[in-house]
Amino acid sequence: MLKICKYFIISFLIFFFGYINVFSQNKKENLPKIKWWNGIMLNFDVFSPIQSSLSSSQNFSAVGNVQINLKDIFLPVYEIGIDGINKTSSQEIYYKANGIYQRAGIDFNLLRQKKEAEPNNNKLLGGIRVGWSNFKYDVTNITITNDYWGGESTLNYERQSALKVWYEIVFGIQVEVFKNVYLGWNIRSKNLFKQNTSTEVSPWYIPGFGKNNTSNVGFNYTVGYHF
Amino acid sequence: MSYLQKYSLCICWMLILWGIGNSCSTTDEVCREEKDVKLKVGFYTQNFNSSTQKYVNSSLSVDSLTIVGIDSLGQLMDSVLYNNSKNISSVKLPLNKFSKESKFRLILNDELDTLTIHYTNHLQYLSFECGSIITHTIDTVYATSHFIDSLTIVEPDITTLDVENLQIFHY
Repeated sequence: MLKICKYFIISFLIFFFGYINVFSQNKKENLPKIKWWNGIMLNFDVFSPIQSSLSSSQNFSAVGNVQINLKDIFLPVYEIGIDGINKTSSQEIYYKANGIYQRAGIDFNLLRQKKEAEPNNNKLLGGIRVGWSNFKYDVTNITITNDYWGGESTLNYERQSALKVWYEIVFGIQVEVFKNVYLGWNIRSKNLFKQNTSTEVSPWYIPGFGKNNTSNVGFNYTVGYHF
Repeated sequence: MSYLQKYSLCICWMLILWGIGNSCSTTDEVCREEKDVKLKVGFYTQNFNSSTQKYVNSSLSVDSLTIVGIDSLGQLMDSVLYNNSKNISSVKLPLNKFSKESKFRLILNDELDTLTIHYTNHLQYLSFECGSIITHTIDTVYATSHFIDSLTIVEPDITTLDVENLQIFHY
């Protein structure tokens, strides 16, 4: 099943690259001079709040970022968000986690202005991030039964804490729809850095990262304002 | 096609991808790990090999075997683990997770013996899907000697792995 997912994502990206070629024809004559400091953009993701509200287990989740525009090519970014989950397993074990996560990184604008068209502020972004979350979690209602000899015991692991760090490869677009108002989306591949698991009870879900797998895929749909 | 039209087409694709991604990533949080922890006992006999002048162990098949647990009050458990099973050379016995001692009554080929195991318990968290298990480490083992002639602990750690822990010898 996972193999099919990967094929879908790869084939979509190939499709998308071909599609985006329509956007940018690289003709370098008479490009307008772009300043180094090109303003700051504040973005807010509308996908996370909607998805978390529809999810039965995920708590309210939101993320926003501050992005600096340098020469319309380099876009350093800082992101901060909240995320949480309340999940019950098939064996009636409860998992609860809540925390703040942060990400810092840089995007690169892969779009070059067309010669004949009027200059626009749309962007095709590819970038990297480092993300981290210092969070608390509970794993409760674990039952141990003595099948033959009889008896039962319930375990609770509460107020466990963990710090998880990961890196992301991000790909997306930003389009100016009204003056200084941008809409965009991005897709990210999130990958955990190898860490020594010192806690006895490992976290099942990491705020901002997702389930405790080696890697996850994320999606954001952003609304932003450019100052 | 204007930018907005192209852009909205992109959005359609992203929504499709999201739908696929969502269905790809949901799991049913079902435990897929082994949770069964049992003491593995094998039956052996010893023969003297005159050519090599050494004793050689070989697996013993017990003709008929009945095993019942004995509780802390010395009473037999209601449920029988092995009920007159035929031609058995190895058994798997559950140890009491909330005690440091488990006793079993064994009837091997109509001879009755009591096997006692003393051990320490270890709590081990597996995962959110599976919860926790209790594993054991054998401290001492002893038995009455009607059928059982000697005991050997080969692997004191009793886990979910299918590894023989104890050997019972009958000469």
